[in-house]
Amino acid sequence: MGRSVRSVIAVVCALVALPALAVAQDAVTITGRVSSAEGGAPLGTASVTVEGLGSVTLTRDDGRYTLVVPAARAHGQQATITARLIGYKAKSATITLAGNVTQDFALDVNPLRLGEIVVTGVGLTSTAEKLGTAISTVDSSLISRSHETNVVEALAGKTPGVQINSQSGDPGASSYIRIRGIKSLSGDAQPLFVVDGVPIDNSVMTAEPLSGGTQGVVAPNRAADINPNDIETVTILKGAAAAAIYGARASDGVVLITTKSGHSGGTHYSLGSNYSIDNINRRIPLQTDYAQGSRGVTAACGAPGCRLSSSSFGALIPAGTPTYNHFDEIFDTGHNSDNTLSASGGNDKTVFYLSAGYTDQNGIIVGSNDAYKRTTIRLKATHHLFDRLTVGGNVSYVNGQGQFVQKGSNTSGLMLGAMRTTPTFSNFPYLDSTTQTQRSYRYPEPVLFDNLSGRGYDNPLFVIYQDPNTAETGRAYGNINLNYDATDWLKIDETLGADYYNNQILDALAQSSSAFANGEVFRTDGNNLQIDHNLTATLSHTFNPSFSGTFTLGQNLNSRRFRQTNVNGQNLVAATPFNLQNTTAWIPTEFKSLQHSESYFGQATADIYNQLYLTAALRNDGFSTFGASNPRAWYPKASASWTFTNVLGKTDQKGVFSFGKLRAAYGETGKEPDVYSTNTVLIPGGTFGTGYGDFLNATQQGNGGLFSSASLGNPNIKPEREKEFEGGADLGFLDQKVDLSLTYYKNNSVDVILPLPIPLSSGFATELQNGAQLSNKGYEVSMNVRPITRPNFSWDFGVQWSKNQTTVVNLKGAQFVENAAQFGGTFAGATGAATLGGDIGLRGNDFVRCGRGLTVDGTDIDSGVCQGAAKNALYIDASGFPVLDPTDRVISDPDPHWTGSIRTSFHISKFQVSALVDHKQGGDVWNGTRGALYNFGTHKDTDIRGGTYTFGKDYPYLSGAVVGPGAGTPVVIDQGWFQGLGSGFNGPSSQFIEDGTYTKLREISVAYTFDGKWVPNLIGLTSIDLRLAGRNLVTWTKYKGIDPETNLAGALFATQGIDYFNNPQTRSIVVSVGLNR
Amino acid sequence: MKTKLKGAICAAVLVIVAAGCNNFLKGGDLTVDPNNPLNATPKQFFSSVQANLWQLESGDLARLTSLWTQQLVGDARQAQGIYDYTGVTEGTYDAEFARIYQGGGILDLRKIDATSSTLGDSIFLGVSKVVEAWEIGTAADIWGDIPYSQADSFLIYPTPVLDPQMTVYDTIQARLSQAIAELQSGIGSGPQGTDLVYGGDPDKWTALAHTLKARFFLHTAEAVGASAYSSALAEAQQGILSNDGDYIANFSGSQTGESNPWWQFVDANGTTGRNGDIIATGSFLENLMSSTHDPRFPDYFQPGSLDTYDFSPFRENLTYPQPFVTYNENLLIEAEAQFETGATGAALTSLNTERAAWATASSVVNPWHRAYTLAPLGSVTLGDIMNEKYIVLFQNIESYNDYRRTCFPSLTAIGGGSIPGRLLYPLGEAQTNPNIPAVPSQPPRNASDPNACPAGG
Repeated sequence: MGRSVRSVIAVVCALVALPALAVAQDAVTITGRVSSAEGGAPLGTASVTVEGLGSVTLTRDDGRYTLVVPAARAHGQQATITARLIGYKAKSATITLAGNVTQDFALDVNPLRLGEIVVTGVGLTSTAEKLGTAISTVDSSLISRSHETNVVEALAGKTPGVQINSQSGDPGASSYIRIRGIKSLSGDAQPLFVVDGVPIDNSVMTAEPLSGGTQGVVAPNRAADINPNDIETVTILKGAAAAAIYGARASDGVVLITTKSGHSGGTHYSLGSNYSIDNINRRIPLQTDYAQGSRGVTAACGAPGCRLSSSSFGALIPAGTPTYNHFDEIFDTGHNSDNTLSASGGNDKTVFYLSAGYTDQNGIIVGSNDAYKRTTIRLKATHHLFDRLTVGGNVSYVNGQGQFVQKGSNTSGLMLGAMRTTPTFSNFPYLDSTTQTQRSYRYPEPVLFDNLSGRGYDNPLFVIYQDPNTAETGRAYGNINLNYDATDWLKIDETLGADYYNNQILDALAQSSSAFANGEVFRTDGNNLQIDHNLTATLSHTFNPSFSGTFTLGQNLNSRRFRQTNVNGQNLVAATPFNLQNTTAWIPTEFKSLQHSESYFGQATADIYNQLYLTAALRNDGFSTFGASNPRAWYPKASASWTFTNVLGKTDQKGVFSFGKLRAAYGETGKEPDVYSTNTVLIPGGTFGTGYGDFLNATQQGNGGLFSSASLGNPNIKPEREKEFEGGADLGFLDQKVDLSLTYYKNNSVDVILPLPIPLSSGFATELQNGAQLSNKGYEVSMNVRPITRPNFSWDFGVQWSKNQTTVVNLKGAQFVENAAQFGGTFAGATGAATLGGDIGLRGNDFVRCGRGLTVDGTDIDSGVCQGAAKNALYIDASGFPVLDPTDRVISDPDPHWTGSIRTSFHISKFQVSALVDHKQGGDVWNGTRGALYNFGTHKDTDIRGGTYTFGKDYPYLSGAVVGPGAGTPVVIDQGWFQGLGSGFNGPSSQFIEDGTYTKLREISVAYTFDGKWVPNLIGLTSIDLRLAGRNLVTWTKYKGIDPETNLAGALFATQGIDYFNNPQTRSIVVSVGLNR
Repeated sequence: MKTKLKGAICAAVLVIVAAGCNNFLKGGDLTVDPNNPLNATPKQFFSSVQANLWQLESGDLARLTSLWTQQLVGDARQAQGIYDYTGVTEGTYDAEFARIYQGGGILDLRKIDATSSTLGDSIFLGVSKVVEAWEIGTAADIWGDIPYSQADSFLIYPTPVLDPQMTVYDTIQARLSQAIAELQSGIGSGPQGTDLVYGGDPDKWTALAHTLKARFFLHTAEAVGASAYSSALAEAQQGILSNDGDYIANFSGSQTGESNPWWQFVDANGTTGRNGDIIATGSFLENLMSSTHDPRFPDYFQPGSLDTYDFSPFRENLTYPQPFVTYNENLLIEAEAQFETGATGAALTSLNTERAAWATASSVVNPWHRAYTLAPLGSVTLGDIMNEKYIVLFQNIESYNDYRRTCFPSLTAIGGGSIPGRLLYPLGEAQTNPNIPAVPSQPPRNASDPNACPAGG
């Protein structure tokens, strides 16, 4: 390896020494107009380039352009000039660079984007028809039309095989992205994000590291620091065959983001302003018929200081007694204003893009304590330093400031307190008028000076107004780039990038909080630094017109450093301020890590007869996280793409079958082990606790305690490996008015690292091993149809569909792997796990059912009452009730059966109407909220209390066939049932697993562009865009909770489909105005 | 100018590549976890072992046995299901089983043993063996046949076999005898001040070892018969002979993690806010003490409270020193052993000595109760002894062992039938160790306790 590096250096140094050419002549001015070949409409923002000279400009809105080639480079030679615009076929002409030149272009539409440049990673590009893999590109207009502030969320429904799940509607909440299924059993399974060639961090940092993400507050995935308005394109490398060039960081795919660049010519200004009005999109039905209390007896407060029943199983509420809507108490209308001002332009030597954006989001929770403000500044510029040497710089600064509200499984969580509140209790005012301390439904009349006792569950308004949770992020990222066209056949590209952010988080619980009555603060400071160097040299050669090729060699060095310090300050002295010196005990934790990688890669491509395109690549990775016996790993890939219609002589892309391409690819990627997986350590500052939250520190009374970790490390750990084959076709019909893309893939993940459960009696709980195997296979289909493409009237629509099946093939002997830190869910009875032969989902308990080899009172029911009964029939005992089966088993599969979307748009003159409907079929969600609310008697479903029902017949919340001695026996459904077997606390979780199928109207918008003469004359602008849009306006689903698109821990965990008092989702109306000059 | 630039580019490329050639991937924070230590001293391990032992004796298992012996009532949420047995599944007590074997348990006790052997610190070795025997004995009490002879040796025995419960009891008797010999050798320094209960006093550890031996002999009595009582009596007579030797947890209360786990669980100032889940109102113990007008009632419960806050503020306190093994228990072991071997007079004396011990309470010696004068009894039945022990060992796992052996006090199982005789093997062990029988094949009772108590007594 070292020798080949040295030879690369030798080549580089030799090339730098080549004399640069420069002969003086007069400057040449080229002018012209770019229009559509179909209808002749002028085309604005088309780029016009003089090839080989790096002179580029953009057309104005009237399609006209002016390009000046400086005297230094124009010496009367012939040059190729090309006009390009996304969605049109590029057209070139040959001109002579002397005097003044006029060159017009009429461009043909290009629905399949053939010939357009696609970035393929590590600084490499290709064109669409040469790709041997399914690479999805989402351009700026689709991103801005989504009106999402988080770029990940903006990808929802845009491309098949990519599943997006937003955590909740809180401003600053994370969005989870999963590409072609789950391939690993550790980490959050998020793809690598690369901005302008440099990897950036997309992790989620929270203040309460021990909370496991099921409580505390939401936090953004850090890719949300990117201003979506700065994005030119997002390219998603979905499979291993496409992503192999990123080696051991690419197993979950790669998201390549290219930001907007400037172009020479006049300076363009644009101001984009959005204002949205948001509200809660779905509510949980709550009962307003029964009072607080137990067993039909209403709880009454005898005197101040009374502690009342937590449940609402009292008597019927007398007529005339007011009841309160616990949603209206805490939710109102939110809003988001988003403004981006950009300027771009330049001359033939220097171009720039400068933008500033400000997003001010106030969520749907009353008051202004759920908010996210993001300020972004970006400057991207390139300069031709010498004829063949271009330097570029690209820097962005982001400041994010969030205010959040406590959520989830947390007695100080917003929804937990609100939904459990009895109907007759008004949460307003949240402070008792006499004592000025928190009042809650379980402690309605606090006694004087009682500000240090918990309230059972907090008053949700107290949670909103009195618990401050803030996060501030400062982030700078960018790169410098050197591009040297050493000769016509050799290009050298160096990118040196950095990404640094600092995050300061404060989460606090005020005094009298039920989760910590003395009050506490969590302070977290964290920072992350990534430096990346990427050097490539590309040789290209055309052997003859029908055979050409390229060869690229590259080196990548990467360093990632992470530091996080957390201090939990307990026991507030004064009620405020919420800082560490105002607390009496402190629990600190610190974590730091350093990871390096050193990689070399090569790629060769061949273009044969302009129809067969071959690519082969190889990457060699060395990572500091690899075990000592496996220091390096190889990742190969190969692909072929054949435009077979060219063989049929159909190169004009006309006719009924106008274009056809077949592609096939194989590639391998990896996933590095978690940092320090090779170590078996002792735990300092650890605790010994139970699932109920009581714990003792290993250190007592100042005597430092250390103990062995329950995880056995592995000094020989190696990276996981994903091997993927994919094949497909891209077809065009009816003069390219219809295009269809089909892809099949099969992915095998081997050497998957798992904390292999070992017997607890061995002294450890897990041993890290490369042992598991997962497979994913699936189909992706997309079709676009453009029935009408007239200049003043067009209509198009697109359909996307994908299906993925994940199978856990091997767990190295284990039946399942349960790991809360990785799969989420620390709930008793609903725990995330990977199960052999199945998928990654939740495990828990079910009722006793037939066909599972179960015994009741020592009798095997399968050979008894179950004979002839339906599979999985519910066993009913003599009392008429079902029976809990204590066996732990798979109870839910959160993966959808398939996902799809339909998008359409109309242009009528300057009107544009568009819509996007997104559908998820299947995918279970655990509605733990409903299970808990049964227990507390506040759910609307509990209105049936006291009624007589028969299981298998008319009990509404558990359906299916029944068997057993008590089958058909009517029983009284009462508090005992709802707090016993029928509850989420004492009954099996299986009864709260619901189908998460949904259809969402993600986007609908009407837009109009004003570009009449009066616009420049009156206001001095070139055009004004006006748009009215709706975001998630309608959700069709049978799910009984807030929204099937929800996940308690957001992007922190790979297990999705966990709903336990999550904050709700939102829908929005957005007005946007764009001013362009 | 141009030459300089070329030179600079060359130099930059060389520097970058050179960085790549030299240990860019190894050493320092790249290889060794900078966040966690890799080695510790016996005292550092002991501090963890002690905290883990306290959590074992006053955490989930103690709550479980207090509910099953009806000293307390599970009134809401998960505690309700534990109280009526329906909510106890094979996955409920994994953490309690694990803590016996894992870091802070036997795994680290064996590290203390190894270092202490090397250093020749027999006293530390003795202390370590007492704790190991106590913890393994507790596991055998609850789960019956357990992994022990092959436990904590993953590289040699990746899937430990189950040792028969009665064999385990024999092994820990032997281990405690060894411990006593080592503690009495006078060699070494032991845990010293890290031991927050005895300050490392080898004589107190010796007495504790004898009382534990007595306790575990009693556990075998239902299966073994009279000889177990004789052995227990012999050990108890060398056991904890004054309240000065009580093994009681020492919670500073300076922060949550140094506070009594019972207080953490029940009181709102814990991190969980679970007051009301486990209550005393209507429990068998509360009824027993109020019906007999037991003067100690205020130490246990707060009379007359209307809501669920009916633990006494004395006991429900973040620094309440939870008693685990006491002089009082030792006397009651003697009383039971004497009674069962026909020495009724001696049994009465032991019982009355225990009752008299309540009259003196010192914040230093026996801070776990306040002073109460209990009149001496004139005669004694086994029920008198065991009901007294049921009161004294409030919130102590041992009450469950006492009930299963003697069927005192006369409890009625919730929902009929009998009170469960053991816990199912934990899920984490069952899924990974083929030696664990499937749930339907697991015995309902342990070998030491072949007979279920009659319903209603």
